[in-house]
Amino acid sequence: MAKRSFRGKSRIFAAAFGAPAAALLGSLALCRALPLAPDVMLFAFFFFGLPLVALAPCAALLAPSCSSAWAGSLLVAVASAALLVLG
Amino acid sequence: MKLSARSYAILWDAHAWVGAIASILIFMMFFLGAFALFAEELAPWQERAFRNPVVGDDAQALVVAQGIVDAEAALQPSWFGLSLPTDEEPWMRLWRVRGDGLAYEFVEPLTGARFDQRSELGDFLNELHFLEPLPHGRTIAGVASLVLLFLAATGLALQFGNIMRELVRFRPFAKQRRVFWSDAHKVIGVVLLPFFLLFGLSGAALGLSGSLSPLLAMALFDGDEEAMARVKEWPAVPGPSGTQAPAPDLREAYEIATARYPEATHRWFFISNLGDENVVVDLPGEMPGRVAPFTNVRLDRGGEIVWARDAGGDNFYAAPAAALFGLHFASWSSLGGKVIWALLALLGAFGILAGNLLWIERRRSREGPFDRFLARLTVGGCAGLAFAVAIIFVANQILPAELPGRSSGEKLALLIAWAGALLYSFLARRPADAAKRLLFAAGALMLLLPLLDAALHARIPFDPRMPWLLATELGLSFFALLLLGAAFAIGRLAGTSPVSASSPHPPQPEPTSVDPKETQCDDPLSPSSSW
Repeated sequence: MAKRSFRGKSRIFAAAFGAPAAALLGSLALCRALPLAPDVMLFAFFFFGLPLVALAPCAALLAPSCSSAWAGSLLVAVASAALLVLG
Repeated sequence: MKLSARSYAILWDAHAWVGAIASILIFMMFFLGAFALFAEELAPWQERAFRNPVVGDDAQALVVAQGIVDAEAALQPSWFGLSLPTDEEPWMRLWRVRGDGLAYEFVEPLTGARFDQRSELGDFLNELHFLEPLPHGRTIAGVASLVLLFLAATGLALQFGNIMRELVRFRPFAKQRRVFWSDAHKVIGVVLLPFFLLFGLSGAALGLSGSLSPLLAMALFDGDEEAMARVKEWPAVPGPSGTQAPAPDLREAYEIATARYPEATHRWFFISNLGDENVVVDLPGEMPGRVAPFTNVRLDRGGEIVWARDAGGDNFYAAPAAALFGLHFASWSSLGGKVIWALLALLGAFGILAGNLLWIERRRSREGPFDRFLARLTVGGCAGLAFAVAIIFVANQILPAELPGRSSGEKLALLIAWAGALLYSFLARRPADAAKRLLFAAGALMLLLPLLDAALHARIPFDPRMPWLLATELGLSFFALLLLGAAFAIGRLAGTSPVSASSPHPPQPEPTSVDPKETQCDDPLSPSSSW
């Protein structure tokens, strides 16, 4: 029971913090990686990136398991950070 | 597209919990948004001096303004703003940023007489709408706007197949209150969905653009903030050179801006580096009737245009952003459009409130500490806010115009009234009683305001010869009637509880008229009379 409750809390943390942070980095990385003009890049971030950040918690909540919610968030965050640093 | 039972249950819970937790904050932003729209129009109501229009023209005002900036140049404020008289604000307003922050002052445009004790009622309600009095308030408002987007999206996903039905299904006379709140929440949610999406997106962009700016510059512009400012069509001003110089010629600046954008009205001068050789003057202009009405002309000390911005923006980011923000602030509209926007904002606030009341009704049979806390917090936060807004209007009337710290007194009155209402909502025997009394008090005070003002200023209330005051009086009276109606409705709802907790009849299960899917996530309703 305690393990289940911990998993529930962990998933909520993933939805509240992990997924939005990953979506923020992912949006920035995508805007940066695509061949976009600076004004289109900023437009894409504010008009598509921010809604993505708002919707990211849904992905974490709907993930098959708590670990997959965290794994997905971490994967997106790490890949995006790598793209931003190396790109 | 239909959601699986698991997805439906998860999204339903997420929508309900996130809504319950964020509701008071979002309610506050919507409720105060209705007042924030009229921050400028409230000026004659809140400040007695604005009620007697000062006869004069722009030429005279510009002579006085030139004298002010000439004197101000010696003080070298980092930023200095000045407005010319308008219909609703027939005095000139000065803004000054020095080491100790932003300071306001008003100047009589004929004589140059100044006074600094003034009401900030409209501005304060506008600032509260953006949560600016809180530390990092604007960022919190941005996050709350993202939460609003989340709630709108999850609500849409939950009702995706039923939107047309939810649009028209409202049963105000249903036996169970849960049905009433459920229908109200869904109908308002569906009707106002575009409005919620607009305010969620624009609020997030407005609230977060400042705090995300360094990250955006680093990630998208290789750390070049100036490049990002150019894309946003608000290029940075060069810093001061350290060489003193006289103030720029305001009349010349005004004429150049008017020649550049003859359709726009220019009422503001925003001056950076005043008293320095690198001084620049920005003259924002407003073209009435456009979704994105603002132009800007930037001049150097010699009167050369160093940068100009057409209304509506002219790149792929600036144009839609200007339209989005124009829609947010209703700057596309005259008074009539703002009234419609304000009514939609109040309806949105009611829709959010209905969600909370639905939560409370649904969990009545197994009410826990959080539910009891939420019920009382909803009363203190929402009805208490209406009461606190009524109190700031009363404080504005009662505090003497020349009282030192009058503006702080008004703000304090609002905060104390709100805190008191919250405390009362937690101490009252039943939350419904507290809600009814707070709403009744707020409505009665608002209804009395025009009479109080008339008595204090020896004038006839609702005088059509004073159009700005008449508009405020009509708005306050309409709002008062809404609050009194809400108090009456709550009294009826609380007094006609279907089944009392001590009733010999057992609670009845929810009728089949409620979406059967909802029962996947929650137990059937057990009504009681404690609300």
